[in-house]
This record gives sequence, C-alpha cells and structure tokens, in this order.
Amino acid sequence: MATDVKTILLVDDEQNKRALYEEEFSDEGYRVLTAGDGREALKVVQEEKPDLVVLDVNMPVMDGLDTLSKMLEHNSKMPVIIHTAYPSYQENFTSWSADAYIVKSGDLSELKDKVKELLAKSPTPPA
Amino acid sequence: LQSPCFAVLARAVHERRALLVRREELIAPDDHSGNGVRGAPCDLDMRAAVTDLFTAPETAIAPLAAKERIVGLVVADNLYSASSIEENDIRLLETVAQQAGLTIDNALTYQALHKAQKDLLAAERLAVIGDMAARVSHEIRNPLATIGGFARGILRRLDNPEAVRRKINVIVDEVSRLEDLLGDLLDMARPRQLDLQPHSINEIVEHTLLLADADIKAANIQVEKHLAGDLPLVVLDRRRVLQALLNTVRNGAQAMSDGGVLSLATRLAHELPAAPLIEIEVRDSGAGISEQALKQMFDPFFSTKVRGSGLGLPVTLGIIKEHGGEINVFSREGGGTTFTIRLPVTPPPREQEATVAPADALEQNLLQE
Repeated sequence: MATDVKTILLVDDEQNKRALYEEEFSDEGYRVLTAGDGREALKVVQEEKPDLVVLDVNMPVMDGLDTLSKMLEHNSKMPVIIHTAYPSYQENFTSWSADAYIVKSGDLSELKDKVKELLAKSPTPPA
Repeated sequence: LQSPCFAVLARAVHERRALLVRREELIAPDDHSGNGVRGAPCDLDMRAAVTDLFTAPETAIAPLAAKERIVGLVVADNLYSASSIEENDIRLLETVAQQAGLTIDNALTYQALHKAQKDLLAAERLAVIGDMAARVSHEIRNPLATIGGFARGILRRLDNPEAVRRKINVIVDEVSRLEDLLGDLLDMARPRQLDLQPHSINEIVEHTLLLADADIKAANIQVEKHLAGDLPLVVLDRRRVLQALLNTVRNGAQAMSDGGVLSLATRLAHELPAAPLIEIEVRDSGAGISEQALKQMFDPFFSTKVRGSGLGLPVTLGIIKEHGGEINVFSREGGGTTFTIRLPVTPPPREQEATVAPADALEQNLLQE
C-alpha cells in the first residue's frame, strides 16, 4: 500500500454494531473492514492482512476466543483488541494473548484511543 | 456440664459411665476451688439451686453420650421414697441414658444436615442469580453500547440529515430490542396465576398464525394445517398458551429465513383414556438443530440467533409445564425440526414446587429473593 492509511478489521455479530464501527472508524481516517463471525474474520485476515483487529467474543459459528487463537497462529504480530459486553472473559487465559481487553460501552473513545496506541507501536506489516 | 461447681459431675463426664454417689459427694465443690474447667467460675445461684433440688441421700448420675461427645447428664434420685439405689437401677439408668444419647446425636446430625442443605440451596440460588445478572447485563449492555455510539455520532455530526436519520433508525431499532428483552424477562418472572377456561385449541392455533403472519410472509413460508375436527375443549390460560404457541411458530419461521414449509397439526392422543391429551405439532423444514443446541435450547439465554434474547423457548416450556403438559423436540441437522406440545384436556391440580423446569427454577429463584 502506498499510503499509510491503516486497515482495521472489526468483528461483531450484530449488524448495527458493524454499521456503527464503520461510521466511526472511517471518520477517524481508517480503512474499515467488518466481519459477522469468527470464520469470516479469519478469511478477511488472510486475504486483506489488516493492521489491527477488534474482536467481539460472543458470536455464532466461531466465538472470539477461538478466533483469536487461530488468528495468532496465522500472524502473531498483528494487534488484537478483545471488545465484549462481558467483563468476565478477562478471566479466560486465551484472552490474555490479546493486546487489550475493552468492555463495550456507548462511548467509543477508549476503543479508539487503544486502536491508535497499538497502531503507533506496531510496525507496518509487509505488504 | 462444664460447671466447676460439682466435682462429681465432671468425674461422670470424664469416666463416661454411670456413678452412684452419696449426697455429700454430690454437693462437694470442685477440688480446684472454683477454678473450673475452661476457667469458668462456679455459678453460685446454680450451685444453690442444685443443692436444694437434690436432697435425697443417694443420687445416680449417667452421662448422655452422642458418639464421642458427652452432651448432658441424667441425674436421678429417689427423693420421695428415699429408698436406696440398687446396682440394677444404675444399669437401667445407664441404658436409658445411652439410648437418649443416640437419639440426641441423631437429632444433632439431622440439624447439622438440615443447615448444610439450607446453606447449599442459598449458595446455589445466589449462583443462579449471579449468572442471570451477568447474562442480563450483557443483553442490556450490547444494545446500550450501540445506542450510545450512534447518539454520540449524531451529536458530532448534526450537519448531515440523511446520516442523522439513519442513526436514529438504528437507535429506535435497538430500543425496541431492549423492550422485547424486558418483556421476555417479565414473562419469566411473572407470578403464575393462570386464568383457566375451556378453549378450542384449533382456534388458538389459527389465532397464532394470524399473529405470526408478518414473520411468515417476510420469510416466504408456506403454511400447512392439519387440524383435527372434533377435539374437546381444553382448560387453559388462553393468553399464556397463545404466547407459547406464538414463540414456537416464530421459532420455526426464523429457522426458514429463505422460505420453506411450516406445518401445524392438532390431534387427540388417547394414551390414558382417563386423562386425554391434546397434541399440537409444529414442524418446520428449516436447517434443523445441532445435537449440542438441542441439549441447551430450553436454557435461559441460550440462543443461536443473532437477535434472540434466548428467553423464547424457556418461557414456552414454563407455560406448557404450568398446564401440566410437555414439549418434545425432534430435529436433524438439515432435516427440519418438529416441536410436539402435549396438553392435558384438564390440567392437574397445581402442585407447588413440583417438576421444576429451567425456566421455573430461575423464576422461583427470582421470586423468592
């Protein structure tokens, strides 16, 4: 990619959430990809190699924690943020391999700050 | 027992056997001059009372043993006859005291067991409520996060009416989802007072289809009806049974979002002639249910649907059970699903806290708190 526009993948099973993320993160200047379940997310990760993934946990087909393990097998350098309505998944050690754990809120600023912070840290992956 | 007032009582406890003592021995103070066992001082009022009570020349003392523990003493005399206490009397007293000790031990064990059981139930109830609270808060947090996100988005970008309209539509959508969730929760927690009247099952089935019409048309579903002609009226709470059937029919319709056949049948089942049952069958030609999901489908908050609250089937099961009925589900992945609801024509008298379904258990836990 010629420009330094970062690509982020947001995974959530709710249509309205994906619409929200698309609006909000496009406004922030990112290229936004979305997926509705873990399997779809893995496909997007392989095809599009996003710079960062925001991952819901409770999803049909393949849940976020399984997806996280498989994603990290594929590319362990890619930053992943767990984004869930359940604070309790923090106790699941699989979630510890994520770079951040954020509980869903009506205010997206914590998530946005974390995305910005992690992208600033991580080197641009080979295209 | 631990009273340091009477040395001989302490001796009976220590030796764990019946003793025959003369009055002087009985009322003799503890050798350790008032510094009794565990350092408790002698209660002088009690000492005086006992001294006044036992005035016969001889007294028999037998320990009450509950397993290893001495839980009391039996003290007996022949105050009125003033006759002497024989060896036989001592043995008899010892035997009686042994029996009494065993009985007391049983009672103590039972008491401890009862308390342990109560504690366990309380802990279990707390666990159920904790689990429930976690799930409910998740169900609420999710739509709230969407609503909050879009509301903030509107505030930031008021200049684009088209975008504002789109965001408001999502907010309205999510609010109605929250309202549905609350409705389902209240249905589960509603104290159950059934309004039992005789009704025609076929009429309720027809009415259900009317209410589910939007879902059925939206998914392009074809409906087949096989309603038996001469069914007896069934004593039931019409509103509740309608809701149960509607949940089941909607469930079937949602399993066939790309169209299919929804088949409804009613019939009389005569397994026990004295207690006839009405069978209502709801069959869809949808994707079927996995074995894993079949096991969990009546658990509160279990849902495979993106927009399901996970309360529809638990509520349905609760309603059918209230009427003394049952639900059977048959499904194969890829081969559709059949729900068979069986209701007794006359519901059995209400049994409090009988057969507790998952939904009922939850409900009772909520109501008791």
